[in-house]
Formats: sequence, structure tokens, C-alpha cells
Amino acid sequence: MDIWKWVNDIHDSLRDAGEDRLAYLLFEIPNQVCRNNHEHVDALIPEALALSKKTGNTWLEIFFRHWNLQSRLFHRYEPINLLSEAVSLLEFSHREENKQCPQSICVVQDFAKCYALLDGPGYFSERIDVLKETFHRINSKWPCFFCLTGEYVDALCDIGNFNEALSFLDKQNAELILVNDKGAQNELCYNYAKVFFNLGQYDEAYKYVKKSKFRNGDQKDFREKKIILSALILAKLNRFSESKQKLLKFDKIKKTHEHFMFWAQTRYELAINDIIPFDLELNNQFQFMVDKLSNNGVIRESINIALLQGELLIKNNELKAFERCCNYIEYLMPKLRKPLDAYDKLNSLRLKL
Amino acid sequence: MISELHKTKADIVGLIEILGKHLYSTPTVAIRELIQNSYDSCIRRQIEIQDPFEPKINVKTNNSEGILIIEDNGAGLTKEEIINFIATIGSGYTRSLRENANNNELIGYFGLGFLTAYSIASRIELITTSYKEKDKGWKFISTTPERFNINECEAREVGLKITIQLDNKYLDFADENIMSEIITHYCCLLKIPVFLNDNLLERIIPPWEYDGNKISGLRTNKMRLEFAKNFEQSFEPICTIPVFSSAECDVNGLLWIHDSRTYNTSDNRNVSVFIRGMLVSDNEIDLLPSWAGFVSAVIESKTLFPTLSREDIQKDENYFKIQSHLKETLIEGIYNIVKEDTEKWRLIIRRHNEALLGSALCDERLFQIMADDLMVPTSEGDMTIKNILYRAKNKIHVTLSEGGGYEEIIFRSIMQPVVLGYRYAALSFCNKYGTTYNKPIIVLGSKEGESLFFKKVEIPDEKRQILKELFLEKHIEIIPTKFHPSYLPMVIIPDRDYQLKNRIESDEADRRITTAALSLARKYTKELNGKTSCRLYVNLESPIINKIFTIDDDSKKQLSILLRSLTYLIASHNEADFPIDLVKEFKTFNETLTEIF
Repeated sequence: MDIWKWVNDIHDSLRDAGEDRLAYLLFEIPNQVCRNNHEHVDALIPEALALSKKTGNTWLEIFFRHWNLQSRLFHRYEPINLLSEAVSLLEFSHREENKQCPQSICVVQDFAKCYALLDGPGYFSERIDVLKETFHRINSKWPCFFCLTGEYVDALCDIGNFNEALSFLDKQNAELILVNDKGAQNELCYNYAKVFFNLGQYDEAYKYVKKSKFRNGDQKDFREKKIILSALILAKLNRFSESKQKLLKFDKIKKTHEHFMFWAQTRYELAINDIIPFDLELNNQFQFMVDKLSNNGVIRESINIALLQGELLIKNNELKAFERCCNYIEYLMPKLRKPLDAYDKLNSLRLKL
Repeated sequence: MISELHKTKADIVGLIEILGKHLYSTPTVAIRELIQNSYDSCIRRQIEIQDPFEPKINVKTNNSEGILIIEDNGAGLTKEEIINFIATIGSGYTRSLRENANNNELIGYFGLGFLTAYSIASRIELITTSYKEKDKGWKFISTTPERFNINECEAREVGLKITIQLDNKYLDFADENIMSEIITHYCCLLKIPVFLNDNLLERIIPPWEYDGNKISGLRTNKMRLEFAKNFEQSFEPICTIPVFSSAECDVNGLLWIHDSRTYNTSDNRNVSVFIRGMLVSDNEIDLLPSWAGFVSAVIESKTLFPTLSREDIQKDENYFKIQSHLKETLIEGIYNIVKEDTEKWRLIIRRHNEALLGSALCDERLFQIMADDLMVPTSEGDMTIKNILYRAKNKIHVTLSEGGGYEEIIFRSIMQPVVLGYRYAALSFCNKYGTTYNKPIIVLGSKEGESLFFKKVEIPDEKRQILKELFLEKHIEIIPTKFHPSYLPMVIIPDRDYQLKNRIESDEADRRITTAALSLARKYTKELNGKTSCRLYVNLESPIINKIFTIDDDSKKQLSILLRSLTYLIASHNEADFPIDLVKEFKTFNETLTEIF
């Protein structure tokens, strides 16, 4: 299934109709999203939506609203502001006139992502149910097959089912082999790397992250994700200088919140092993990430980063700051849908003092 | 499983073919490589012997015979050097000389430059005399990279002369005009004089070589503009920003802003990179920030390294240092223009206002510098935010759709500008401005915007009761308020949450949306307000509304019917929000009017 066919077709017909600007935005917005130029995306989206509404083509509206969610949910992690939009788009994209729009599959993924961000483990079963039924609507020839696989694997990893995640990946990979989709297989390597990383098989994880490749060539957002995961795996392999060299500067990831967790974990590994100091600057960076994520409603990840920050504060013997950090984690707990092991983690952290 | 160890084999002839003929995207690079070899040879002579000499490179063309000659008075080569360096691929002398002499002026690196000559030649003849043995000459003749002939010949002046019989495909290179263009393109900053058919090609002196003590500031600016024009094919420069090396970053150069109108994300960046005076790439746009689509640059650095093809730059640590240095220089340069050259700044805004709005969103400092000068599109034309705030009583109203409805009537009548948020960067810029300077942004049509715009006013119970009796319908909330214009008696606005809740919780949704997704969506809508479908704002500034409290019951009723229909008619620009029967409303409106008169 070529989900871009209708986009290419409509691009040509818009040009023929003299709607050059809209035709331009059709590719410009996804390009800017994939380059992590999210300020540009924000600048362009209202115009694209207004123009597409004027044409009366509702598929165009779905397309642009979906890419807005791609930018703001998948890259910038803003679920709390976007849940209403995700639900509204889900409804809109499933109306009679839109149900054939291939983007309606992507929209379901956007919607599930909101809950993954709000509290991934807390919404585990609902996410899995949504993903399972969405898989029934497509087959392995759809590019969505890869994206949904990624979300499914993330969900399993969120609750610590790493072996199941690995089996699931093998199964999906086998399906991709059948349809000879090498591009998606290459991209799947990134998910393998994440699972092997979680299983503590760092050599294997590094092998896979190196192999991972975006199916449509070099794309900045994928490249950055790959670099950040590589840096983390290298740190776990005690290849600290390589990890330090590879890791992107904070300024480079500051506006792309999807990188926060792995970036923080890498810095944590480097600091706990005395490769870099846990100084005021790094503490401020941790605080920035914790605040940003919690303000955006990404509570579980905010807590997980705060837990790393807490350990580093103990290492530096910063007792008052440590107490503030723990109190903040405590304040965030009720915002989780299900605390699960979060209280245990906080208690273990306190015991380390 | 048995493992076997094998030695990798190389098809040397095939490899040479690839390196010589396919490494470069354009055959003109071969000319650059040969001139660069001559340049490095002159530098070598300067390093290795103390005798003063005036280095020069002479290129000669013979159009009728299809011959190109490149001659220099550099160090020349001995027989061993020809064999070791010219005829051994990948073994350039320059690289070892650079390392041994710690000299930064040499350009060559990979020992592949000579090989490129084969990509344009059918025969190559090289005659050379080395400074080491001035009484000997050597002639090297070759037609393919894998074979050559070398003989002693009569000594010549120290240096080297390559005579290329051009391949039939490249006979154009024997044309003096074409060769002049090629040499100027690549070598215009080269410090060693280059002659073409014995005529000196004028070297462009880059601004970073100007002597500040000898040239006035005004003249320097003019010369910088002239310099920029040499590299700018499409856009005249408005002004330039010099790039100076710092302790951490070795780069000199010039940035300039285009004098052509850009539209939002237009990307006209253009960056030429010179390494020791030789153009390596004229397409390194990523060295400039992505928001700088209205800027071009020429830079020179000794710390950048070309890739093997020598048409790109290696993305190493120095590359990223320079990238960051250019960004800082550009921001500081813009800051200086804003502060010191109002006239130029106005021109820049006229040309690039939209692109600058985007830039201001990407960089906080740029935002701070430009926030009060940039203009956003409004219903009353382009305006600065300061002006909008002044006109709209310290608020910024933004609309996301084009025209129609109560918004248009209200704002047209009160003559306040509304920002056209559906135009490029307008909404984002206003949001950033509002957040930074604590100014309220009222997005028309949003719930937040609505509550800021229509503030609830307390009225006596008796009046409240009248409004209720006249206008109350199921799921409609009546809110007394005051707004301008006073001739607009009421406004009705739908509740988006109510609409979403109804749609998601309808039986229809069960048929359209899959179970698990719908069930999760319903978890969300369950929490939403399900009571109010619309809010009816009754304008207490309106004389007609005030009249309604004083007239008799029959008139009240007639008037309320008229007002209700009128309000729906105004709101009906968006039928999706109000699925009302327009014809019916018009009929009611007319019938009631007829009854009255």
C-alpha cells in the first residue's frame, strides 16, 4: 500500500489548479517535521489548515493535522495539550467521507501515542488493544506496519516484557522478509537495539543500532535518535570516551523532547562513572527536562529522569536538593494513571541516601 | 563451521578508472586539482629552499589542437619523485610535507589530484626539472593511468609543465574564455598569481585580508559589497557581516543578506568554502542556520578538510565549530544592524519580514532583537505587535480562519486589528510575544479566547429571568455580557467539547471507529462537559437588548424571535458548527418582521 500515492496525486492536481502554495506545503511540512525544525512546523500549520479547509478536501485537513501531531506529540511530547485534538482527529478521520484516507491509520497511532506519553505503563492494555485492532486494518506492505510495530514494542518494553518484545519483533521481521521490505527491516533494527538494550545485551544492541537505517534515506530526526541511542549503549559498554564524543550537546536536543530520556540516561552513566562532573549546569539540564516533561503531561518519563537526577544528587552529597527532588517525584505520582512500581523506585532511591 | 581466511583482492585498473573518472561530479574539478598541485609545488619550493623566487602558475590553451598546458615554477620533481608521488596513487608528497614541516598553507591531501587529469585527457605529457638537480630534466608520458613512460630530457627552468591532449569530450577546455571562467571560479582567492595565456588573472582580495588601518570604514563596506557580488549570481547583497577567526575557531569570511524578497520558508542560502584560497565547495548551505534562507556566505578556513571527492567538506568537529561560529556571527551582525543602521534594517524587514518572523521563532536572541520591529499580517494590513497592542487595548486578537461570522462584524466595527493567524508564522510569533511580554493572546473561536473576550456581567434576577424566558433552549447557556459594537445584540458560540463528546459517544461512532480506539476515546469524552451545546452571549450594551427589558410581553416575544434568527444567521457561516435550517430561519425572520409592520 503506497500511502503517499494520494498525496502525490493531489499535489499534482493542486498545482494544476493553481494552488501552488498548498501543493508546496504538502511536502514542506513533513520535511520540516523530519528535520526537527518544529518552529517552522508551527509557523506553517495554521496556514496549511486554513488553505486546506478552503479547498473542502477533508483528506488534506487530516493530513496536516496528523503532521502537526507528529511534530508536537512524537517529537515534542505534548500530550496534555493535544489529547483533545487527537480524539477530535480520530473522530474526524473516521467519518464516512474520510474512512478511505490512509492517514486515518496514522491518526489512530497518534491517538495511542498520547496515552503512551501520559503514562505508558499505566495505559499498557488499552494501547495494546488499540494497536492490535489497527494491525488488523493493514498488512505488512503498509509503511504503517513498521510504525505500529515500534509502538507495540515500546508498549511491551514499558511494562518490562522485553522477551515478548523480542519475539514480537522477530515475528514482524519475518513478515517483512516475506514482502521483501528491506527498508522497513533496516528501520526495525532500531527497535531491536532498544529491546536488546533493555535486556542488558549491549553488544547486540550496538550491533543493531549501527545497522539501523531509515527506509527513505538519511533523515535528520532518525539520525539524531540513532546517535543518542548509540551514545547510551556505548556508555553501558563502558566505552565512555566514544559515548561522550557521540552524545549531542544539550542545546541540540533541548527542543526535541523525545530525546530527553536516552540523553539523560547517557549523561547519568557518564556522571555516575566519574567521566563527566555532575555540576550545576548538568543539574539544571536535568531539572529542565523534568519540568518540561511534567508540564507537558509526560509524567512517567519525567519521574524516571528525576530518579536519575536524585541518584546523582546523592553522589554529590547535595542533600537539600535531593530532598526537593524526591518531593517533586512524590508530587508527580498522583498524576500517573497507575503508579505501578514508581513508589518502590522512589523508596529505593531514598534508601540509597 | 569452518572459517577461511582470504586476502582482499583489488582490481587496480578498475579502481583507477573509478578514482580517475567517477570520483568527481564535474570534469572541471580536474582543472582545479592540477592547479592545486602547481600551487602546492610552489609552496614546497618556498618551504624547502631559502632562495627567494616569485611563484607563478601559467595555464595555456591551444584551441585548434585541443591542448591544455599547466605550468608552474614550483619545486619540480626528480625521477624518483615522479615514480613515488605522481605515479603512485594515494601517495601524495603534500600530505607528508604538511606533517613534517607543520605547514598549513598546503592544500593537497590524498595524492589523487594528478589522477584526475586522466578523466579529461587522452594523453598526458609532463616535463619537469627539480630544484634538487637543476641540470636534469624528466619527461613523463602516459595515455592511461596504469602505464607511463619516463625518459631523461633537456633540463628546463625549475618547475613543472603538464601538457594535456584533451579527450574529444572535453575540447571546450582549450577555449580561453571557458578556461578563464573555470580558473576564476576555483582560484579567485588563490594567493599565487595565475596566468592564462600569459595574462594575469585578477585575484579577488577577500575582505579578511583588508588592512583596516589603510582603508576607511565606509570604503571597507563598499569593498565587502563588491566582494559579495562576485559570488552572488541571483541576489544583490543589501549588507554584509564580516566573519573573523576566534581563538577557538579558525574561519574568516563574509556573510551577506540578499536584496530580494523572500516568502516565509524560501531557502536561498548559498555558501562557498575555500581552503587556502582554493574553492572546495559552493554548496555548503548547512553551515548556515536553517532559518537564514536570506543569507549567503563565503568562508575560508585552514581547519576544514575536504572529503575524498574534494567537492564536500568533512563533517568533523571543526565543521560544527564553524557552523556554530557562523550562527553567532550572523546573530550578532543582525543585532548590530538593528542598533546601528536603521535604514538598512528597514530595508531588510521590507524584503524578509516573513522569513525573519520564522527566524525569530527559531532563536531566542533574534526574537529579543527583532520582536518590536517585525510586522505581522492583520485585518488592517501588516503591523508591528506594539501597534496592534496600542490599537487593541493591550490585547492581541488572532483569527485562524478567513472572514465571516461575528468576529468579522465585531472587529470591523470597532476598528481593531485582528492578526491573521492562518498566515505564515503569525500565530506562533504572537504566542511567543505574548508569553515573553505577558500580553494576552485571544484566539478567536477558541474557548480561552471566548472567555477573555466575552466577560460575564452580573445582572438583576428579574432581567436574568426575562432573558431565560425568551432565549433559553435545551443545552444553551445564556451569558449576559457587554461588548462592542452595540448594534450586535447577541452572539452564539458552539461548545467544541460538547460536539466532540456527542460525536464520540454516538451510535454512529460505534459503526465507524474500531472498538478499542473508541473505548479509549470515550474514556476521554466521559470527563467532558455534556450539558452546554452553545453559549449565547447577550450584549447589554445593545439598545435593542435594553429595550427588551422595557417593552410589553408580545413585543418581547416578537423581538426575541427576530434576534434569535438574526444571531443564528450570523453564526451560520460555519454550518458544521450549527446544523440549522437556514431557510427556516430566514422565513421566521421575515414572517416576524411582516407581523410587526
